[in-house]
Amino acid sequence: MNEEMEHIEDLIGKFIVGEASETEIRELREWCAISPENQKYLDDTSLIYEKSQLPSKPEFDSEAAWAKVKGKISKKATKTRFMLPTWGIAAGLGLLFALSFVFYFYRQSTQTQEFQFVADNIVVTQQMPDLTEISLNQHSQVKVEYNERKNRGTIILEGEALISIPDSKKVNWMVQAGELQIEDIGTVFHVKAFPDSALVEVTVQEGLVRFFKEDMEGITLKAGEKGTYDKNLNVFSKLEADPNVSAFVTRAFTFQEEELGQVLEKLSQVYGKKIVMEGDISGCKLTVAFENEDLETILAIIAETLGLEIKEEADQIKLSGNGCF
Amino acid sequence: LEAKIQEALETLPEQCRLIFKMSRFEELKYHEIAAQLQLSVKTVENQMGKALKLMRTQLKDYLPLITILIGRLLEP
Repeated sequence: MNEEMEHIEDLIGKFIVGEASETEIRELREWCAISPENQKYLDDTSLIYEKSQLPSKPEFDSEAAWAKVKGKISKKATKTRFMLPTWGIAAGLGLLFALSFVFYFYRQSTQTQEFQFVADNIVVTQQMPDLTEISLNQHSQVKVEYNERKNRGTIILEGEALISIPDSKKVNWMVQAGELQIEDIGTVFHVKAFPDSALVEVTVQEGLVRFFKEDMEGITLKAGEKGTYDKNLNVFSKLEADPNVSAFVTRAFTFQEEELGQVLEKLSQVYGKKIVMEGDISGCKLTVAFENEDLETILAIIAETLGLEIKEEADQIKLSGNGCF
Repeated sequence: LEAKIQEALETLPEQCRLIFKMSRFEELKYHEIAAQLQLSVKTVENQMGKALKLMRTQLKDYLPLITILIGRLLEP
């Protein structure tokens, strides 16, 4: 073992000074590959060789010089001071700076972000960092807690919102409306939960959601289904979805044999304009679809279809007629 | 570290130190050193190996710090 080590020492020497043959270099590389310690052994030795310098004053007799000076120095001056080399300080500061930077960004990404927005008289659409869109209808507000690292997003809703979660979702979303919870399973869905209304409605347009309470299992809703929860009766029920539930965002309406009174109420909600009727026309049936039209156009089409008259008044629109065709 | 290396160099046995200096500072080849000192090339090899080993032993307290630190930082 000792002999082998001695042989290696010789090889290292030859390698460092550049006298090793091809075979010897290969042998040394194999030895280095055996363990990191071996590699370090070679690296350290190379470092020593590289860093070694000629003594600046080879003939200088430090002992004699010291003896000469010693007598002249007072005791006070013999205090030793340890000085860090300047590059050491610089490197230390650099490292500290870099680490704080990394730590700062790490903290940032682990922290929960909070967003809050309110829709008073207009529909507000906000995009979350994961591209989820929350469209708030009038008189609604949400608070969002978003944590990408924990894959969690919570929407605390008061009012009505359409929530569209992209396919490439990064976080699992949960909507909280009072004590009710709606868990998304990859979807576009609509929630109507005004605190002063006894009914909470969830309508699914795409995908799947779970609509439940902490102490009740609730229901699972598919696309095209609507779930309601009655606060007074403490009951979940499942209905067919209202196709116009997201009209406040999309302004797309589909009416199928719908009574005029209902149609106008819906339009009034979405466009924020009061619409009144004159004459016995409220029960007239209507089948029509609109795609992002302005209110004037829609009313003109309805009036044309049912033979009604439109009158614009100060803060309302009046439709009048003498019954249905 | 440079200062420590110089210290270590000065404590080497006479012949080791001489050969190390001739190799390092006069940049002489082993066979040139061997010829000058009237030794065999094998002996020069041996002495050089010994010189490096002794210096590393002396300096081992100063060497690992840097390497270990860097090693740790690079680990995933």
